[in-house]
Amino acid sequence: MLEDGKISNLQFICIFVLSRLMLTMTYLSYFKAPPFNQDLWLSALLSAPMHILFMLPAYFLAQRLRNMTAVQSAEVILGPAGKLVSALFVWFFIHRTAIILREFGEFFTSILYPETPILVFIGLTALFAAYAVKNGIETICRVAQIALPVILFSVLLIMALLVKNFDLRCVLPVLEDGIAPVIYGAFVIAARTGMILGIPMLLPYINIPGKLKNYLIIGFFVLSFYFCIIVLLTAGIFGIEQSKIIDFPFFYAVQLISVGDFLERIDVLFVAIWISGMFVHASTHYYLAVLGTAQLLKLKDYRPIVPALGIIIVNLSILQSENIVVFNKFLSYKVYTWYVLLFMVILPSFLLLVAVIRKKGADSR
Amino acid sequence: MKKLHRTLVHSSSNQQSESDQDIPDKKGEPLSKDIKVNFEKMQDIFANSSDAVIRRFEVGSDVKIGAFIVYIDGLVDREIVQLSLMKPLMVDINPTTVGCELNKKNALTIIKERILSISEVNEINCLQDAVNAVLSGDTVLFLDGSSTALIAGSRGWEARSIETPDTEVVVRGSREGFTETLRTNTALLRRRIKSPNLKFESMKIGRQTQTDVIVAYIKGIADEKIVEEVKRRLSRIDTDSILESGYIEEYIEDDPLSFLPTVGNSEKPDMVAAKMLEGRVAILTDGTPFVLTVPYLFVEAFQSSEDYYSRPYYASFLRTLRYIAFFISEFAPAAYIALTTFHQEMLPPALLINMAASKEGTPFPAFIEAMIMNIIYEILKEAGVRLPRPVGQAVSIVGALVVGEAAVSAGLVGAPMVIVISITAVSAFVVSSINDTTTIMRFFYMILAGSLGIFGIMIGAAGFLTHLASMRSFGVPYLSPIAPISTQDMKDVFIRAPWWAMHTRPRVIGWKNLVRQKYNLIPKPNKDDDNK
Repeated sequence: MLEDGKISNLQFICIFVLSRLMLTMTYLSYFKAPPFNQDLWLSALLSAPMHILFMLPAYFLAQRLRNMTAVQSAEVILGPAGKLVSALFVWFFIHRTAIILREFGEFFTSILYPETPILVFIGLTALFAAYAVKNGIETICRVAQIALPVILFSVLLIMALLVKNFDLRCVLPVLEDGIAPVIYGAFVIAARTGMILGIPMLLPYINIPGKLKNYLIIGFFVLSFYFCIIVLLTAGIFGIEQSKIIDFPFFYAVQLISVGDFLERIDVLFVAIWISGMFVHASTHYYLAVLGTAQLLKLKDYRPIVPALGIIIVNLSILQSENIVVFNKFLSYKVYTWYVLLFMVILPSFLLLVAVIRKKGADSR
Repeated sequence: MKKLHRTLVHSSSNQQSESDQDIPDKKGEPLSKDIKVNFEKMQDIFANSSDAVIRRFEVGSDVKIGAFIVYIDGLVDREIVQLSLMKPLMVDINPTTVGCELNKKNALTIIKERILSISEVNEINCLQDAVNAVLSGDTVLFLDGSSTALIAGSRGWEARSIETPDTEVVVRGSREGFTETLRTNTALLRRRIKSPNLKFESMKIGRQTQTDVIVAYIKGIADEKIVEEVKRRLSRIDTDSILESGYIEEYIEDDPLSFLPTVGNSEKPDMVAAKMLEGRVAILTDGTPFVLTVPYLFVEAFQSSEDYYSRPYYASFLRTLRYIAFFISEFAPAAYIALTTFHQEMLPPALLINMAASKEGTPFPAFIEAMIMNIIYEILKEAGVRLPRPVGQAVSIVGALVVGEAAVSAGLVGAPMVIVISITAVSAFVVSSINDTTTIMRFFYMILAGSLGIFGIMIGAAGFLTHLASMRSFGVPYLSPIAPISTQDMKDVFIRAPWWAMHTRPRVIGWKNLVRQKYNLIPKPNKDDDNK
């Protein structure tokens, strides 16, 4: 085996939730997606069942071939042609890592360090993430296990400090345009959870894979709860129209915190916890990219390709778009949703279908 | 596990030369039956050693048997040698006391069994053993006509008495500390754990120093795999000298390139006993009061023996305080640099104006200021430790005046910087066992903060956390029980639960024999008494 570490279900769900929550917390691109109105918080709540729906193909694929990652199982199911699908999975993780690093860097160059080149942030994060990747999935999971409680608690604390700025009238009336846009919104939110493909990638390393579904469902509900309160609060503070315009709504909301004239402008603390979360997020995807590549090329050890892949990822993340405007166009719900869905739902469904028809992996259950 | 496995494979190939001393019959020259040969050999070996004493005499009243003893002056208790060895052999010996006539054949057995009034007497038959015994402070008796010599336990040398250790001071709890003498140290442990399950397995390490090292553990509580692993790693060591347990620590570490220790040490017997009772293995080294304990976890740096003796609420409060102090000592200068250089908007206006005013006249940026102050502080600290005590006071006065007062009034550094550095310095001593790590890390964070502000600090911290998470100590994850999380063990991490609530040992280490006490030991009024 390439990776001889074992992780627990709880640890897996920690990296899962952390990966999903971090970018959302700062970017909150959902305001620029359906339902385009104050019902977004309902979409956020409904994202949990939508997540479960999207999870099914990947989950059943993983459970069908329990001791194989998605990259390996594609080859078993489809034969030599499966290499193509495996390569697509690997590309997805490489691209995702590049996107994460770019979004991470863009935040700093636009908010805190306007003069510093973005390469500094992307390169330095990739360097430290490479160290984490080199140490394997166990290490990344342990870091996530420490970071996640801190982050979840901090978000709740921020909520508590901001509650006096909240104006309920901003999120009323409920269901002005009916239920359909709300469901479409939930669909868009859930479709961004690219980490669902991490289930078939990491299931072979989970110590009790049978219990994963309970943890996943809890994880989805935690996620939708946090999405909901973040969206609700941001919309309640800025109003829905304002939230659509600003780049980092939640971050600006944190800047408004002012308690007793001394606890002010704690946005830097928010940035601090955000960095630790993003670090885990980036390392997880980086790790999956490295693991996938090693399995695609049938290497004995994945460590030698960590720096090589890191250089590719850093270059890709800088070259993929000229500026944040073009970048955001790609990340908008019209493009990115379907891009992720292709890898996250369509390819696993296809693999699962072929596996059922060709009766592959059924005996291993 | 990977690393453990690697060391297992590695050590088995390197395991050869150490066993010289352990198995006497296989190696080493056998003793001769002729006493003259033995005598010459011993004289040859101890030539030019002015402290070695070789004394020839004759045993017996009618039949005279040639004999000689060898010992090192200063390592033996002379009273034992004179009254229990020489006197019975030379004066008291006669057929009436012995019961039969002495001859060359039965002399050795009779002397061993009926004449020597020393509690510890052993037979040996190889030269190397005899030399080792002499060098360890025993007296060796050679008799004519037998190829076996007798070792008489006569060790006794000048040693420091048991004192209160300077490194781990407690208000409540035992004041005893380990000494430099191995036997005293084992006795201190045995006095605390009066169980036959407490095992002391000894070995000798060091080609020249032949240092006695003892692996101590409690059978049935300690994991055998860890005990075996400790012994294996110790037997791998093939070096000239072991002068302090620090040598051993560096040879058996899991992560030799890390800043952080993966082997714990303590000078207090009660502390070591408590750790052994949790399932750890202790390594005692002759010549040092510092006893090593493995596996060592990160959270142990925040535990003090006193936590377990004082009441749980205050102990828990102190625990939390130690974690806070750790963060202050790691991050305070870096955070100050980041705040004043990059994120001024975070400071409340009143404080910002004050700080700007005090920085007004100073020539250097905050980063340089912090570096200068930190380095000066480290120099003062080092000088304070090394200098003779009378001079040390002068240094501290000069340090306090120059660094504290004059530097500010001369306009070299701002007053807030002095405050930050002093808080950092004081906090670092709260978590003294990883003081060296925090000192090095602090400089890293300062460089990162000086170049990239909060981003630098946090990405550095994330890297440091990754490093912590990747480490293991003898197969146990270094950050456990925090990550991987073990909820049951959390009662002794950030808080210290009352003793009656801690009915299990820490799971990661003491999983072999988990339950340490009866459940439900919480004191409560006796219901039967009430009814009566």
